[in-house]
Amino acid sequence: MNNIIFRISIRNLLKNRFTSGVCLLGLVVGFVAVILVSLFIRYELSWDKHNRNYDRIFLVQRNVALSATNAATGSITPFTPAVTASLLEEYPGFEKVTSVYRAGDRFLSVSAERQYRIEEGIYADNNYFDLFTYRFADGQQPDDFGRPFMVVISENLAGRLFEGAGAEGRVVTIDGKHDLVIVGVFADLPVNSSIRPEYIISMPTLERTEGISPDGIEPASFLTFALMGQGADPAAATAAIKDLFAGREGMEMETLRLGALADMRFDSVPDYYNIIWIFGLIGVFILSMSVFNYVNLSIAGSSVRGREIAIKKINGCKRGGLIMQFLGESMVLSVIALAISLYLTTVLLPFFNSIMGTAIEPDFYGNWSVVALFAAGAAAIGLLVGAYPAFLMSSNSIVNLFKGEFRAGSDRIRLRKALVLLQFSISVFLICLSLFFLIQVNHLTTKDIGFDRENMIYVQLTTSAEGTFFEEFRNRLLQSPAILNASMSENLPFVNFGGGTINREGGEPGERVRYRPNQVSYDFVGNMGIRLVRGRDFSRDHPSDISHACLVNETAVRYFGWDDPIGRRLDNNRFTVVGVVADYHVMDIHNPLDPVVLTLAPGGMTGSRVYAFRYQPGYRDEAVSLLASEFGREFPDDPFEIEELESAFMNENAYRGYQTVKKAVLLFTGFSILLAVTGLLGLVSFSVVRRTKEIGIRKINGCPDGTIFLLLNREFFVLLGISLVVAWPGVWMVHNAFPGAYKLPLYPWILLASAAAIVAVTLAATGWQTWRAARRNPVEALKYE
Amino acid sequence: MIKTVNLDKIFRTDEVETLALDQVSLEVKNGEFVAVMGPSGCGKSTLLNILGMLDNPTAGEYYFDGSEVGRLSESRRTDIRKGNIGFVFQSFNLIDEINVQDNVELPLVYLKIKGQKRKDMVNSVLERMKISHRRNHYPQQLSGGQQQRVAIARAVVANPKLILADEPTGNLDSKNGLEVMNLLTELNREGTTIIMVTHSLHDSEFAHRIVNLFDGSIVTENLKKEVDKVLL
Repeated sequence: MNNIIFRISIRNLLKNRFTSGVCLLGLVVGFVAVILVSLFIRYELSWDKHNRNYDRIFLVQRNVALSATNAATGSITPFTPAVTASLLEEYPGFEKVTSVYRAGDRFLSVSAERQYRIEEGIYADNNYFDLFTYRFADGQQPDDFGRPFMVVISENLAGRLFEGAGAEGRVVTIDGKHDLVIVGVFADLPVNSSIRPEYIISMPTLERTEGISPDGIEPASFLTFALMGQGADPAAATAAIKDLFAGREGMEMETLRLGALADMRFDSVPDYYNIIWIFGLIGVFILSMSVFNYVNLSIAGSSVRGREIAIKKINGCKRGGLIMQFLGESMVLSVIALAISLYLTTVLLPFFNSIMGTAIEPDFYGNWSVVALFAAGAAAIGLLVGAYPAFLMSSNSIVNLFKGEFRAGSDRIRLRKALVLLQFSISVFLICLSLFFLIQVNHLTTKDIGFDRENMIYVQLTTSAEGTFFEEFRNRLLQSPAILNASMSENLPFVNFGGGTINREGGEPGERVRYRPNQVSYDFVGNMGIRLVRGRDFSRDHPSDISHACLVNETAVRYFGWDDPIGRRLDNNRFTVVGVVADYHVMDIHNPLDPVVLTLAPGGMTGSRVYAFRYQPGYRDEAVSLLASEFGREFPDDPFEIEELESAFMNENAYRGYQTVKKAVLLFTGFSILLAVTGLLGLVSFSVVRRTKEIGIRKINGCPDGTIFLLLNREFFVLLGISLVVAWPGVWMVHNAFPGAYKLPLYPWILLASAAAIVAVTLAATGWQTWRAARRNPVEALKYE
Repeated sequence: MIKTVNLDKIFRTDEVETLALDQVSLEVKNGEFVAVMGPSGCGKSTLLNILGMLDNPTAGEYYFDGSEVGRLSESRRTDIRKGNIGFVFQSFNLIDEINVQDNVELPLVYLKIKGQKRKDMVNSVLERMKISHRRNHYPQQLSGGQQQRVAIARAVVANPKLILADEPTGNLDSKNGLEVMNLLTELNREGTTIIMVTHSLHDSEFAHRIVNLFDGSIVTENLKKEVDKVLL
């Protein structure tokens, strides 16, 4: 860019402060949106990519039948993880296989007084560190994970436990019972890691402390990963291992498959790719709106610059020079906008991260390739938005410019109308989307989840202490008026959930159906507020209920294909169905319901159990302190926390996912409406000026103000009507493409409400100017001639 | 038909106060044809705007058909203006976006005359102005003379009592200008009162009476014969 043109550009931008300001604002809004969206997409697409072996790591999964009537299958971890792992290593292409066990909530401590509850940790073997990339403080990857009671911890955890002092070689206690030797400290993993443990315990510890072994048949909580050799073909490997277990008795229906590490994020978050492409779409939309805005305003602005251009031409300025000047202005503006946007993005990122639940770093400072990319993008946008006014204005003849006749150019009006039409359409589209997400999220939040989550607190406790019976414990607590009901269970909805497969009376030989098991005490159904729809609940009057009876949910009845479920048998005829409960959500509000089988285990409070208590409304604090003292007295060696079931519900992944999408869509809809209003303001002031003479003539001939007002607004409402026709089919298509088991229909009122909203926005933007124009003295209007 | 007593019109900006009309008293009888003359900036157009009720005077009285209208609100003025006064401008002031037919129909629409009646009235006035073959054309497609005939058609379509013409021949060549003057004279003969602002001595000869304005005041009022004398 030549220096004089640059200087004149700056001067012109300063001269037309209002127009440049509005243009700049529009570009900044568009750039910020695009930068945020692209950072978000890059972040989401880089899950687990910090692993050097990212492309070669696969999760080994087992296909199971979802139901007898449904041919579709679901994926879960194979049986006997250790056996599977060693069998797989024999196959060509498999370099290394490892099994990890997800530990869930545990309490770590260096002194008995201060217990740290850590949500994510795993048990792993030596191989694990060969598959997944960890950076250790001393550069040494642990090699003694074959021995029990070894642990490595994250820098973050080390900081919390030892407050800066060296952690290596120290001892940390887990759940107040077992001492582990810290043999390494690793750098914190990026937040976008599917498995992000704070601590990793050596696998043999698991068997010594919990009695769980990867050699056992039960695969719950195990994940098995395979590292494929360089150049190995995953498809061929999948085909080779598919029937690993096919010949074995009782495993006839089992087949194995390999899932790429890249798919782990996809599998754990509902509608993952949909969220990403919706965001991409919104980014593109907002950017195009701000480009339209610029073109719109600069065309409006250039029409008052006719005289300036004419004088330049008379004094010998060539067309090329004028084009350079216009392009120079738009590029200068665009680059300024980029600089402001980058700064604003860093300011907004913490806010954005907090609503999106992400941990995006503003890492574009010093990252020259990213900055260069953005700068090139901004320059391209500058060229794009400057091109039309540049070529158009410079092509006018001097005579036309002086006469001001170029103003009436109907092509230009048509173009501007088309741009505003597109802006309207995008706004309507986004308004519809926002409304849909609002009611969808509202629906998910308020819909009947099948049990009563209010006024309920729970305690998760793992203990090896024996001799306390839940019935006695419960009776003792019920003495207090604060506690209305209590139950014990293996799993609690939204807190934890088991998974497994089961066979049923009348099923095909060898067929196993995926289901959610739960061992519960008496009163579980009543305490949770789950409805019983057939048969009876477990009863103290039927002693044989223990380990013989079961309750199933309505979905199970449907999956098993039973007309009369009462008396039917499950699990090699071990359990007989005595009752059916209404469906309730077990793990989230988003996924389709699975079959649930409840069995009765009311006895001792040993092992891992969840205790749920319904308290008298208003007596929460009393209930909490009572529970704290009773559990503390009964299980002095086992750490625990008392929590609200409601907050477990709020923290669930799918719920949070929907909330963030809703907030983000609302945010960007706000952006788009802002841009549409700016575009509209530009157009309406242009239109009022252009029609000044017409307004005057009509008024002289007796036209009342109200009619003029309608006349001026009519053209916007025509545009608006067309934009609805453009936007609504798009909304319909996106709604159709959107998955989800509990998707609400696209109610007609959403479309009508979007129309009403855009009408209101239009009137707000145009009303004042058009009303003023309509009220103006016609003599003044005609003086313009 | 028109009587003004000591009309003043003052335009104010932040710094300057301009006295555009100064104690103008004027009477125009039914069926008269009056020409208002004077140099640029003498207040001719301002006077015409007030007489046409497009603007209110700052002081003084204005009687239209015997009633005082100088203090009325804009919407009241609009009501009186409708159907009573027709305007003809130097720059024609046709709406570019609508065709000849629709331009001429405009005043009738706002008088709320029914569709068929409107069509008949427009047809007859277009015939009369010898422009009906151009009824579907747009203003830009017509010559200046034709545009002014359309503008006059619009001014007279509602049979107004008064026509106010502001330099009606200013943008026309002499042949077209003569034609327009003949049209105005013909309308005047049929009983329409006409007040015309003009620079042209030639055009003023078509009037019965000439009012000379200078710096916002009436300096002379002559009958046509006296004008001839002055000219000689």
